Amino acid sequence: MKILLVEDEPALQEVVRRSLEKERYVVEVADTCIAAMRKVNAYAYDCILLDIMLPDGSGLQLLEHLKKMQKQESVIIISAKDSLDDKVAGLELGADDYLPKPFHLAELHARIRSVIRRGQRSGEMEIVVGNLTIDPDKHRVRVGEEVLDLGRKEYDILLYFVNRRGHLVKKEVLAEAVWGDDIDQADSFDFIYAQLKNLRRKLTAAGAEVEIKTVYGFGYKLI
Amino acid sequence: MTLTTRIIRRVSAILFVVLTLWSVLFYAVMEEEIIDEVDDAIDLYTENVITRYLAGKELPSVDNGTNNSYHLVEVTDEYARTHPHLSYTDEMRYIADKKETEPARVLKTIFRTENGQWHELTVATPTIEKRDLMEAVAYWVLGLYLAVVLTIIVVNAWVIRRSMRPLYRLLGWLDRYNINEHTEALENPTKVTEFRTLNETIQRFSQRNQELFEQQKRFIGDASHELQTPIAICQNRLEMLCDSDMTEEQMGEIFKTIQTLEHMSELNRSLLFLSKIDNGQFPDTMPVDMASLAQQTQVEYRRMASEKRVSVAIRAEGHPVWQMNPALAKALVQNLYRNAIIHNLDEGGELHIYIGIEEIAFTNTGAPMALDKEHVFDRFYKSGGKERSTGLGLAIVKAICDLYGLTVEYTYDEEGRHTFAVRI
Repeated sequence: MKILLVEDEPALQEVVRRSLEKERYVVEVADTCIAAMRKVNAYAYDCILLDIMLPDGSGLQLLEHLKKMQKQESVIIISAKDSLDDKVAGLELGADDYLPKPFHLAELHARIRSVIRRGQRSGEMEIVVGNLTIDPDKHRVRVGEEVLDLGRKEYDILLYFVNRRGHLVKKEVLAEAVWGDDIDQADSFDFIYAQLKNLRRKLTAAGAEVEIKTVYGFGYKLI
Repeated sequence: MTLTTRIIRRVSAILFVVLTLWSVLFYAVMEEEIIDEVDDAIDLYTENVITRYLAGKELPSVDNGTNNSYHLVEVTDEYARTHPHLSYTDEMRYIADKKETEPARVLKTIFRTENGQWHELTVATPTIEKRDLMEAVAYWVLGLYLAVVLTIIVVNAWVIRRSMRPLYRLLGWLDRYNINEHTEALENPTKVTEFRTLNETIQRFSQRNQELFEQQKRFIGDASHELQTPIAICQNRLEMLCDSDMTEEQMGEIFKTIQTLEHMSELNRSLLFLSKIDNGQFPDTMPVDMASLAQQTQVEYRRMASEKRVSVAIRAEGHPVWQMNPALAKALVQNLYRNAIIHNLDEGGELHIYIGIEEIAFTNTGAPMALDKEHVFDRFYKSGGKERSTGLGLAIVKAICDLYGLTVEYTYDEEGRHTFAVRI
């Protein structure tokens, strides 16, 4: 998987690149709009991480350029400009996602996985972690050959962790992410933790090689 | 009060005083002049009578058509010694001719004939009616006053309107001037030096103001960007550390640092938002349905409410629609909501939201002690040092209310309920 990181701030560029490389992506960097355009003209990328405020112009120009060249790259905008206008403009110009700075690296990785998966419509859709296989289309989870019977919330929680495997997930962030859209009596903070407990029990019982570890009461980590 | 009214009022008041003083003076001078004339005439007459008497000639008849009357008596030495030999007085005299009493000037003189006998001669001549004179003077002066004031009103209205035209044009321009939008250039040609200076000064000031405003706006945007990036870097570096092998204790420390960084980022965002409100960077307004906004906020913040175990109830009467900037309306409701959740009780807390046509009120259970009404809306006012509080939420609420002329009031009742009410 090849990722182009367009970011002018050297420190942020370095930390994001290192974090991506740890996830075994091939990372190339560009720190100006012009440099980024040259790279996309010459190579194909699976995903482009794009900062809006660049020294030689707006990152939105690159989006326009990609659109004109009818390139299919997935683009995630990363911007400190927390303004709705930019977000709307970016998404209208064909960006796939928008992540305001400061962001969590776990969140960035999850978004990258998700846009890449969306981009590979034809390819293999299953997510495999150890002996755990998830088929997001059918909402089905297998451990080895055995199908795991999970409730809707339990499945949501597992999918969220699998997309952020190896990263610490804050408990508030987890609750926020798997919260339902309608106000339901069951949608309480306690309910989510009860679901998490059930999920862990089911994973252990099925002999899954992954484990959701509690970290000091701050959050959780799937290993 | 317009400038014209003010000028007319002042001029009228001054004229009133001046003309009153003038009429008093005029009356005094006039009276003295008349008395002087009358005294001259009466002197002459008296002299005539005395001369004739001393010469033994026939005295003029009393009824001689001059209205003068005289009266000649012999007096004792004693009387002559004790009375002045010449005196003028004003008296009321009965005029036989006219059969009425009229004011008269009376001259009394005491003289001695050759044989040493003292005589007193009293001569009276009718004089002016002082009251009549006073009234006449008062009437005419009042007439003059009214005429002058009327003239001043007409002249002023005309002169001011004509010669102050550049001033009114300038005022109109200032009224339309909006720092956030582009206002047309000031077009106000005039030959009057003062107005020209005023035009130039105001133009210079508005330009300077505009520049400062733009600078400020740009500074706020830049500061936001520049500060968020280093915070993001720190946060991400720490997260990378977290993902490597570490003891739980180390991880705990790092996690706390990340939380502090998140707080810092939140603080930075709130401060910038506050200065944007103060700088009027949210100029557009539209009708906002406050009831649905409150419901939407409840959905967005229910995780927070659930975490603190606060039960939330919304009571809405109708669908109040307020004319506001949508982002600010949202910030107003969200900040009141967050405040009511964060400062609620740890167990069994409640939040009641009332949405009325002219009022929205957030009533929450909380610490059994009233907050300081004077300072509760100050920046960084904190009670009890809650972990998730930036100390800016209520300052933002106040800034938004001030911007739209809304009133926001804090009240505390004895059952430990704190209420923040915003009214139109």
